[in-house]
Amino acid sequence: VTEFEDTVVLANKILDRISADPDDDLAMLARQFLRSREMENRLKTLLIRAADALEAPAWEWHKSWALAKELRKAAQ
Amino acid sequence: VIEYPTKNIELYAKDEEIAQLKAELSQELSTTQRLKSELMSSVEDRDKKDAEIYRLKKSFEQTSLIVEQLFEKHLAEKDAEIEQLRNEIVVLQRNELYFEELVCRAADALEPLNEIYPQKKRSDLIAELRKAAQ
Repeated sequence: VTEFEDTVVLANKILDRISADPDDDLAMLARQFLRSREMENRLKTLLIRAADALEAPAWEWHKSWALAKELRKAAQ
Repeated sequence: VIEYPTKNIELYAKDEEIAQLKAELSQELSTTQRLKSELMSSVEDRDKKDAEIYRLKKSFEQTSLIVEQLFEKHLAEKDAEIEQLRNEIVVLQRNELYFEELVCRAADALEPLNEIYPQKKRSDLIAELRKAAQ
């Protein structure tokens, strides 16, 4: 986790440092890393919501249908 | 009519000639000394300049070496940063694929027919979802 957090700091530092050259290899990798991280966070949020929905009592299952649609859309 | 002795006249002329030669010699000597002094000064200047050139060359060589080392260090750091980012991106992309697959499985379990989704399977999936989201 610490190494991952270090990489987040590094990516932000790179983007601050080489703002003058957006096509720099490092800058592109840093942006790609941050995008992937954002996607991962988004998916993790969905996973938690899915787990919550699956644990919900039977009378609330109708709510999960909308979530199922949202999950399929996100996974596309 | 006064008659001067011829010998005395000749001696007088010789004295004059000697005095003139002495004066010329003295002037030549003075010029030579001046030139010698200028030459010495010029040699000293040249030596000083040579020493300065040598010092500058050495300084340039040292600076070049330092710049080269710094450049190599910078390149090594950049390579390490690229490697770190690439490794993390690979991990994130692998996670992304797994999470997407999990999301699909969760969606299957939440479909309208989820009432008949086996309870054990449901519990396992919930545990997997929670673990993945940590």
